Amino acid sequence: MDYIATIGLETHIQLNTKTKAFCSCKADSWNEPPNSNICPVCTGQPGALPSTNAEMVHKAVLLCHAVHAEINAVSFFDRKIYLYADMPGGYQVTQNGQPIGVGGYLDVEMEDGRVNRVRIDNLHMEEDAGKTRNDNGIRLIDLNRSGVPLVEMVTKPDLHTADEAAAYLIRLRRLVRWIGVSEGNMEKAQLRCDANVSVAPVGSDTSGRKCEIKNINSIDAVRRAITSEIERQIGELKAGRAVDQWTIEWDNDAKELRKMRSKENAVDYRFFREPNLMPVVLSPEQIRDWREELPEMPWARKQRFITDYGLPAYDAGILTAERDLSDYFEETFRFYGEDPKKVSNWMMNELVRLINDSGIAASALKIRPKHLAKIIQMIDGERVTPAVGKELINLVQESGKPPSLIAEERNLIMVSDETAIREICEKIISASPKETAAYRAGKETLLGWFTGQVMRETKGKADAKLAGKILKQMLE
Amino acid sequence: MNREFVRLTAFEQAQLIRTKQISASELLKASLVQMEQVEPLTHAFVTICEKEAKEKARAVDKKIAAGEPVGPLAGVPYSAKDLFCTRGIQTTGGSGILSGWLPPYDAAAIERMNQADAVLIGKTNCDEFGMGGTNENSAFQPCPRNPYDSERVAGGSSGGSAAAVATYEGTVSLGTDTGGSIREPAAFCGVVGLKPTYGRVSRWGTLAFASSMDTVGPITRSVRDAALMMNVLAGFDPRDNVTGRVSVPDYISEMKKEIKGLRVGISPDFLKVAVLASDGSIEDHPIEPEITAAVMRTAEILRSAGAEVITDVPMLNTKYSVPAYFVISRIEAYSNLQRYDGLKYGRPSQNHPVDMYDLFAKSREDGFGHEVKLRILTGLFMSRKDFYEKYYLRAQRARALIRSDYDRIFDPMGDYRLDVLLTPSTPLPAFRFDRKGCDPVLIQYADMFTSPMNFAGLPGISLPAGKTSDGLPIGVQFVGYDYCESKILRAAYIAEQTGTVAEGDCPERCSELDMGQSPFGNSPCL
Amino acid sequence: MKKQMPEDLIEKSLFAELVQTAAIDLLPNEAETLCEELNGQMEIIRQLEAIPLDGNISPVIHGNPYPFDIRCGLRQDEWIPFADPQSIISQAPFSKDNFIVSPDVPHQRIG
Repeated sequence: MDYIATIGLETHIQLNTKTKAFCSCKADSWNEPPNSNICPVCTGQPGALPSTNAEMVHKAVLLCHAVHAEINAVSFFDRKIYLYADMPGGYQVTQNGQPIGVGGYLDVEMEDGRVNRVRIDNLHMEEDAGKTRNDNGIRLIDLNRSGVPLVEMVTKPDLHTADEAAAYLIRLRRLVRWIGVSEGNMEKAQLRCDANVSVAPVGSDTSGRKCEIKNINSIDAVRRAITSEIERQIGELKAGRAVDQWTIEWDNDAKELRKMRSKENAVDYRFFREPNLMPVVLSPEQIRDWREELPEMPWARKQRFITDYGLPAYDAGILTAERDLSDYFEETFRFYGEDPKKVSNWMMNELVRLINDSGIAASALKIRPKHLAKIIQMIDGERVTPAVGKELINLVQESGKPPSLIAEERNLIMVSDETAIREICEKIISASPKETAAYRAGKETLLGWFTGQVMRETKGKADAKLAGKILKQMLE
Repeated sequence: MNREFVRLTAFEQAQLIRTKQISASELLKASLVQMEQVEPLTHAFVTICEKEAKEKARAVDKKIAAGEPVGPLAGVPYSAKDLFCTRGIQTTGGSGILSGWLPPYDAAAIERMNQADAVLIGKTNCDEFGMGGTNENSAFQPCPRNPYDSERVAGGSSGGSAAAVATYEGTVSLGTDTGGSIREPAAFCGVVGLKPTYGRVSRWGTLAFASSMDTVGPITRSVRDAALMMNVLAGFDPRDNVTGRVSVPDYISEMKKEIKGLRVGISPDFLKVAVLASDGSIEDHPIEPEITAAVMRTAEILRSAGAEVITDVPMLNTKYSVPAYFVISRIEAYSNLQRYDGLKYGRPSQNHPVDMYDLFAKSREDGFGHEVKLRILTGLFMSRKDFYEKYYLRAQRARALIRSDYDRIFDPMGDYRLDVLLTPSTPLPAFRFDRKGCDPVLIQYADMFTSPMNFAGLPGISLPAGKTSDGLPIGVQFVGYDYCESKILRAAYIAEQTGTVAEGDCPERCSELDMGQSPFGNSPCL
Repeated sequence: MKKQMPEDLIEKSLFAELVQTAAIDLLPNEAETLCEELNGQMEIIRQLEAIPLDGNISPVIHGNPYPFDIRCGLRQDEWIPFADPQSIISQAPFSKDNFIVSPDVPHQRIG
């Protein structure tokens, strides 16, 4: 018998606001000492009261717009009540009954080109919990993360394989980074998900009992956790056993699933309205203005790069991986004015390498699009050689000076004076009798070697074509 | 040192201090002596912060000596209910689970009192987390006694505050009121207690009981002091998102405004206890006749001062507030008590917890009192998912219904056009610890006339209106519309000034009492 | 008093569930008393049923209304560090290297 899995994902997206959801503590505590960004509110001190971060609402609405969700003009905060060491108030402030966004979808392109439309059930704002970790039989609690704003985005059960789930997450990560609402870094748990997985025989109209896998925090873990849970459930069904409704945690260190204790499974959460907060009320104008802030989506931009600039899909895909990289491309092209493919080649070969090597984002590079455009133009105009052009990219990045100035200062302008090049060629030929003899005996491929010597002698500045021509004349 | 200074009002004390007739340190010294003598009988305090008080008093004196401006409560010794966070000073909420806790911050009300240059002398006892009407539900025993009869309760939950103010242990006090916790003990102890409009005074730093009804307000010996404290306490606070952006008037000048034409209502529904049964039947239960008489007497005083008194104002939904208040307050209380787990602050169980859950369960078992446990379980039961509609939503709808009564009577275009509603503060005076000789139904419904205002969000002030034949204080209450504290203060001020309200001791005349006459009878302590 | 409806009777099992969720390690005799008292309160709770609520009445969170002009706005996203985080951690009964310390949470491996 064949089985089919049904998967729904609840993704927690940490918003990159300056401060926490309900207090003025700094939200980003990466690499900071434990319990350094805390205050009475986010540590659940008696008497402390929450106040809603405006930027959290703004970013949540941007995300709602980006996935075509309907935005509730009035949304409420609720208390989700449970006791755990990482939830200092004894309840999580979240949105249960009337969340900020309802419905919507995310289209996910699979590797085979098929587009999988994943419907969104709702998006709601909530506060993150603190962190706990084991330390030789005790739990260490750090509340720096407590109160960091999250949007939880809940899908309908529209996914069926681990790969689909992974593709969805990759797509979502790109989206949140693209629209600037989250850093989307899964290693830093800025994006993490819970997966509801159930398995049923193909063709049966009942979906199986579902299990929730909690705290999956990498794309790889999504694949592994869902795959192994599907296998486990199929195994149970094949053995004629019922699948128990478990809550399972993915242990990232052991790379295995573990069942949470039954007490932690008590799912009868109690909810009711948080009386300490006013509802979030948005005017139609506000909702509309924020929609207009939304940038062109990455997939739309990729398509436009293909159609408007005639770029291959591969190039368009790489250039639109990050929004600032695609902006960089377009700006460079605007300065350059012709042959977008040439700009694309320079970016993909040289600029992406620079970004990867330096870890600096495209938008933060010292070498700006006008500089890159200028360098390409200098090569086109035979003012510098392509080799020098590559070097100029590094030099501009180091100094921030315009490339033409650097070329002048460092004397990198291409040598295309025939007499000068002829002199160098003569010198090299007379210094290489063995190679000269070999060439003349028929080993014509050595021409490249001779040209290389000229380039080395001129530190890459010689007009390589001209040098080749002269060498050929002289050798024959 | 003149011991009589402790009997002055805050208004008078601040004036004497500002004009250098006495120093803040001298006044504090007198208060501390008073406390030393009275406290063994009142048991009003959980913590006395003598060191911090002396520092503050010295700072005020220094300011005055240097000719610097001082706040309106300069040098006035005050106490705060132990539900207010005080930085570095033990705050327990009357609960064992917080025993020894030193808060990392001050409540907004404490900040404001401090800015007004008042001197905090200590933290007063209260029912655990404000849950109770007698102050018996405190982890800190003996609990406060009624200053007029030590066999009787001081009321609650701000029992310690009311008892302290009545016995001159500090001149004024900060209380909280979720169902009558300022007004009921004020009535029982013969002092003034004002519960402001929900959202008028910031709750920042006040231990939560039922968040949609918790309010912070003054307990004083005079109406003018209540107005003075409201000047200090009232106002928007961005840290408490339910405070309203509403301008704050000068309550003292508002209080003194002409009363002519003020429309005062009396409702028969506030002169009886209507006991509702689940089948909808209602059984009326009479309240203490002496209390009804005090209400009528107060109405007469206002009428002769020029107010218009409208009797027979129907408040038919009042009887529904008991079950609805019950449900909402328990559900909110239960969730507010979740945070007490023995992990982050307070006193964990010493009973060797084996794991995290065990630590929670044992600490909560050891730290919470019986009433709090009952309320947690009740709240949990009523907030079960399948009961959400049946209980929680229904109670929140009932809340709108109860509120509609007040919208109707205070509507300036409506049939009644009231400025204030006059009611008893309580259906009975302070009852005995052993409940002997007291009507159990009236004890059960002791907050019947105060909790509807919390439910509807409206301001109310309780002030002394004479005594029973047994010599127990009687309190009457003026209720106003949202943000109309001025009007209830005005009505209360006239009632107080006219003097005839109190057959014996109008609070303003407390200072005239014979110095040998203790509220405790012939106690040698004064 | 009317007889209690069976649906409202809090049986031992339901009571035990409530106690577990409440995270209170009640003593046996205490549990018995509280269970009785809880059942005794059912009468008040059930009075809710007697409140005549027509369909037009919507639930409210607060008694008083919050018209737009007095309502507190959203908080601006400005970092204001709390002056003394140490004063918070110093109140934790157990701490280590600036972490708050809790006894462990037991887990169970699958299989």
